[in-house]
Amino acid sequence: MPISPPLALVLFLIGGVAGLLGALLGLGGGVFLVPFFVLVLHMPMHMAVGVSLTTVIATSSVVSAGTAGRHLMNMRLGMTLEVATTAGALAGGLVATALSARTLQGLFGVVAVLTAVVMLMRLERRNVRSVGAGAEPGRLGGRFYEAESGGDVVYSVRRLPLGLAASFIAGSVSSLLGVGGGIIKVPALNAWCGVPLRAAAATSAFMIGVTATVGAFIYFWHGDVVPAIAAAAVLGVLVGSRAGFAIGARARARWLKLLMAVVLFIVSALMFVRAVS
Amino acid sequence: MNDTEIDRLERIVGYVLRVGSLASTSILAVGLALALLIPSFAPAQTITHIGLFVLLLTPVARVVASVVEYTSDRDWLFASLTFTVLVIILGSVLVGIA
Repeated sequence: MPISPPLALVLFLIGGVAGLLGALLGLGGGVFLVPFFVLVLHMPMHMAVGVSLTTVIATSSVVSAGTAGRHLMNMRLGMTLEVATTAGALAGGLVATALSARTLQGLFGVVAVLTAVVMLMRLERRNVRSVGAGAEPGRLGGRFYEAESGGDVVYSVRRLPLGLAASFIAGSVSSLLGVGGGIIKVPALNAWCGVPLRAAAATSAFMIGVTATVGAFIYFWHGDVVPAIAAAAVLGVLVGSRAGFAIGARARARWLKLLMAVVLFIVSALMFVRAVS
Repeated sequence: MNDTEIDRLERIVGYVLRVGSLASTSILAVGLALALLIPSFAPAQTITHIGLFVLLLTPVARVVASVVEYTSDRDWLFASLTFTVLVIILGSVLVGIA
């Protein structure tokens, strides 16, 4: 796929839309980017995944550079779980190079459906899970200031093994499908490990960069990451997500989540069709 | 590691990520612009390659910074956890080359 001005423009625009939606929904853009690439641009599946991973890295670095210093991301928890996400990414990347494009597309269909289901299940989920002021954060827990309640939110981390398992799966899915994997980690950390949603999301956004890097290296050496194509997509995603954060309508994202769940169902159906045709 | 040391690490990590993402996106933008404007200009491809590597090495750099910081604080548990991540990344590079 040689780069040309029209292709660069399309990649930039697609990246922009994916980044915008990702920022508004609190997802990475990868779940939208990969099907766009494959279904609209007829990009080979492995290339779509490799290029998408580079946009995941860029998003993670930019978002985490912005949240650093606000105590929202829990670096000790993140660096602990990263052992599992990167190990999963290494395993997933190795498996991916051996799998056919069809298998990966079918797998993408499955994960897109699950993403939509999780999104629908968590429609009513609110951000706040405050713990009493006397709580002890422990070695892995954290504390951050919450503007809405005007106080500190303190939490400890429970059931770490479950968090590690979810992180390993998220890491392998990241490498296999070119997504960040936050859709797996964030609900798991929130529901099972007791991490408040905001801290879970910020910590996940921090982790997906290094996780996607493991996958991206494997795809890159395989020749699946074309730098100029990645450049156009990365720039688009960064502009799009910046716009998304500026709009920042996360609180009123209910209708958007519903719409995107529908889009994801359609996307997964199309990916299934492509996988079997 | 106490609270101020955690603050310090968070500042360092934030700095590494900010510099890395700014550098990589600027280099990628220049390389892409050159490749589009002057298709016959060979160095354009080298520039986008460099931009891509800076992008990929940014998260790696912050892991390295964490290993160094935890080690100098004698926080051996987290020094070994972050070092393990570094070894896994190295594994992905070696596996890809092989």
